[in-house]
Amino acid sequence: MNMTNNIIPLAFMAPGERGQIVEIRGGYGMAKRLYGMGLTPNSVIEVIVSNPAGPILVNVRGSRVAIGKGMAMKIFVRRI
Amino acid sequence: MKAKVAFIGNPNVGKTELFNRFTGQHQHVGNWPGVTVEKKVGKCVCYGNELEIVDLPGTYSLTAYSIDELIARNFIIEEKPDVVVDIIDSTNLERNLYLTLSLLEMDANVVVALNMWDIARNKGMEIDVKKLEELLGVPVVTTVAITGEGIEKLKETIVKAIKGKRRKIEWSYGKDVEEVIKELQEIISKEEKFKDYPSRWLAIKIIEGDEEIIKKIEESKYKDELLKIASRIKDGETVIAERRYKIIGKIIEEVLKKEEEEWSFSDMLDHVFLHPIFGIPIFLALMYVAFQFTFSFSAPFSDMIDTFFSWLGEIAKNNISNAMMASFISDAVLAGVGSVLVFVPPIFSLFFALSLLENSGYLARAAVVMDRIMHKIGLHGKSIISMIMGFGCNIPGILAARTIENKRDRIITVMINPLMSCSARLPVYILLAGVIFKSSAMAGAAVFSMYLLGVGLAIIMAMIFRKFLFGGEPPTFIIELPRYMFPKISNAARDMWEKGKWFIIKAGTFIFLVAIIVWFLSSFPWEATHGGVYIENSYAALLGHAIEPALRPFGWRWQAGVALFFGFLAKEAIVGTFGALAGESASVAVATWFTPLTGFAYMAFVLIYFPCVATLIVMLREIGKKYTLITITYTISLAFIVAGLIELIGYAVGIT
Amino acid sequence: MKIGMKESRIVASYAVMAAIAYLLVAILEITGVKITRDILGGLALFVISAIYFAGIKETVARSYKGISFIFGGIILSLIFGIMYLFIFLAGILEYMIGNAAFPSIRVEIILALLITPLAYYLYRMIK
Repeated sequence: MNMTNNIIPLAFMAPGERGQIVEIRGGYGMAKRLYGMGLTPNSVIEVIVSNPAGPILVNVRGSRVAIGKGMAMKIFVRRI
Repeated sequence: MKAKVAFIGNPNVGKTELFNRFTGQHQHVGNWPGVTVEKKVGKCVCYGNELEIVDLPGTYSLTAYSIDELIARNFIIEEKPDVVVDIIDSTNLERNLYLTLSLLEMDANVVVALNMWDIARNKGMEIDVKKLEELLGVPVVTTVAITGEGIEKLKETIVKAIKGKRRKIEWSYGKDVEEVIKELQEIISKEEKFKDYPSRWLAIKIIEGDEEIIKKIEESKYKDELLKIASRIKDGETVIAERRYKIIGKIIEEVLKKEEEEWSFSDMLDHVFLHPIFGIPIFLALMYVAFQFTFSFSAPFSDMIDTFFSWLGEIAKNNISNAMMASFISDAVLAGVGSVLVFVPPIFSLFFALSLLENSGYLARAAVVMDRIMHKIGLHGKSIISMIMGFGCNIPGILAARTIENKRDRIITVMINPLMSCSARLPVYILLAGVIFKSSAMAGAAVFSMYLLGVGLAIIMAMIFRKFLFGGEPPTFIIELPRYMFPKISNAARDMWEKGKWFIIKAGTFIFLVAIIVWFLSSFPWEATHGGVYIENSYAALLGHAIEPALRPFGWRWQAGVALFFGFLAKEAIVGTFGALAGESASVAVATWFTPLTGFAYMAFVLIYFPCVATLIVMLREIGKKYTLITITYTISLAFIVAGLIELIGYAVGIT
Repeated sequence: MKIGMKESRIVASYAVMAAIAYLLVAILEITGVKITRDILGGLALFVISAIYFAGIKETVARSYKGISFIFGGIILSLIFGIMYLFIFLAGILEYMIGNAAFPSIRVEIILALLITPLAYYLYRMIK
C-alpha cells in the first residue's frame, strides 16, 4: 500500500476510523491551542461523528473535542 | 498563618465547584487588571490558617496563546502563591497531566486534586494514587467536588504543603533536547534579569519559541547565544509538546488500570443530540425550554413587583399633600425603581437556565450543532444562544454572549443583538398593526414580519461587521465537549446571583436616574402641564417638535417623535406615551396619526432605531465604549434607511 | 454488555406508546383542538415523538444506537415536564396573590410522569 496515499486531512476521515496525527499545518497559535487539547503529532485519534453538517468530533487522549472543518483540513492523519 | 493558594485546572474539571466548597459565601468577583477576564478570589479558614484562594482561569496549558493562559502563568511566576492546587479530571489523566507537568516545571508548590474520582471509580478505572505521588513528587488527593468527598483531606494537605518543600523531579525530554536545555540553563544562570524565573522552565520556553519569553530574551545581552542554541531543536514547540505527552504516557502506564468501556451515558446522548438530522431540532426544543423558563416562569414575579410598586405609588399619591412631591415620589422614584426591578426576574431566570445548560454539558454541543449555519454568516456557533435570548430581552441576550471565548466573535454577537426584536417591542407592533391594518390576518403578518426583518438585518450586519470591522477572518472552531452531568441546583443558583446582582446595583442606579429625567421633562413647566397631565405643554413636547423635522419626511407627527424619545428608556414606554399624548385611548390617536404605510415604517423604525438605555448599559460593560458607540450609530442610521426604503417602495407600488 | 432480548422488547414497546402519545399531543397543540393552541410547544413535542420513533427499530435489534434515542427522548421528556411544572408553580403563586386565574396543568407534565417508569427501568438496565 502506498503510504503517502494513506495520509489525509482529518476532515476526510469517516466516523469510527482511527488515525495517528502526522502533521499540523497551521499558524503558531493554532498548533499551540491544539497541543494543549491533546492533538499533537503521533497522538492517536478516533473520529466519533463526522457529517457534512458542521464540526468533526474526535476522541483524543481521553477527551472529546469538536473541531471546525477549516481547522480539520489542516490536521493531517495517517489511518490505522 | 496567612497563605496564598491558587486553583488551576483544565476547563470542565469541577474547579469552580471545588472553589465554592472552599470559600462558600466568602468570595469576591472582580477583573484581572487590564483585561475583562473574571477574577475570583475567596477566603477560607483551614486548621487555623487563613487561606486566600485565587481561582485562575481554566486552561489546557501555560503557553502564551490566550489571555487566560497568560494570566494564570504570570500569576504563578509573579505572585508566587504558597500552594498551587492543580485540579484534574480523574477520568482523563492524559490530557490533564499536560498542565500539571507545566506547573511542576515552573517550580510551583503543587498539590494535585484528582477530582471526579467517583466517575473514574464507576467507570472501572483504577488509579494508583501512591504511585502517582511518587512519580510527580507532590501530594495527590482524590476528591469529588460535587458531593464534598475528600475536601477535608485536601484542606489538610494544602495546609501541610504551605510549609513543606516538594521533591523535585525532572523528566527527560530526550537526550537531544536535554543537552540544549542544559546549555541554555548555564547561560540563563549568568543573567541577572532572569533571576526570578526557574531556569529549566525558561530554557524549555525558549525552545518552544514562546512569544512572551522571546520578548524577554531580546532584552538580554545573551540573546543571540540563547536563540542560536535553541535553534538546534527544529520546530521546538512540536517536539516539546510531543515529548511531554510521551512522558505522560509513561506515567499513566504505571498508575492507571482501565477496563474497556461500553457506551457511556455521554456517548449515548451525543449520538442523539449531535445527530445530523435531530441535532438542530433538539437544539431548538431546548432553546424553547430555556426561553419559556426565562420569560413564562419569571412573568408572575415581574407582575408582583409591578403591582407592588404601583400600589406604593398610589399610597404615596394619596398621602403626600404637596402635588409636586407626590408626583416625584410616585411617578419618578417608585416608577423608576419598579421599572428596573421588573427586569430582575427574567434576568435571574435566564442566568439560572443558562447555568443549567452549561453545567450539564449541553451548551458546548449546541455550539457544535449550530456552528455550520452560524459560520456562514460570520458568527460563532455559540452566537445562536445569544440571538435567541434576545427575542425575550436584549439584556440577557447580550449577557449570554459571554460564553463565546473569542473577543471578536463576542463583540459582533453583542452588536447585532439589538436587532433581535425583544418582547418590549411587541406591544408597539400590536397597537400599530391593529389600528392601521383592516384585517387581523394582515396585522398578524405585519407583526411577524418585524421579527423576520430583525433577523434578516442581523445576518446582514454580522456579515458587514465581520468583513469591515474585523478584517474578514471567520472564526476557527475547536471546543472540548465535557461529559454530560446532572447539573447541581445550588451551583446554578450561585451563578445566577453572582452574574445577576450587578444589574440591580449598577443598571439600577442609572435607569433610575433616566426615569427621573423623563419624569421631569414630561411634567415641567409644572404650571403649564398641570402637574404632568397635559404633556403637550411640557418640555417633552418641545423636544418632540424639535425632533419633528427629521421625522416629517416619513409622515410622522411630533407625538411619534416624543414617543420615540421615551422609547430610549424602554420601548414599551412608546405605547404609554401615545396614550398620554392623545389623552384618550392610544388606538384612537394612532388611527389619525398614521397611514398603513407610515405606520408600518414606524414599526420598523421602532424595531431598529436604538437599543434601550438598559441594554446600552449592559453593552457598555460587555464590549466597551467604542463598539457601543458604533452600535448606536449603526442602529440609528439603519432605522432611517430601512424606514425610508419601506416608504419609497410603498409609494412606488402605490400603497399609502 | 449485550442488551437482553426481553429488556429491549419492553423498552421498545414502551417507546412506541410514548412516541404515539407525544405525536397525538403535538398535533392537538399545533392545531389547537381541545387544548390551548401552542404551535412552537407542539413542534417541540413533535421532535420528541420523532426521537422515540427513530430509536424503536434499533432497540428491537438490541443495539445501543437505538437505546440512545430512547434515552435522549426520555431526557427531553423530563426536561419539558419539569420546565412546565415550574411555570405551573409560578402560576399558582400568581393565583394566590390574586393576579390571575388558577393555572391549568400542561399535558407535558403528565406525559413526563408517564415516562418516569421507563426512565427508571432504562437507567437500571444500563447501569
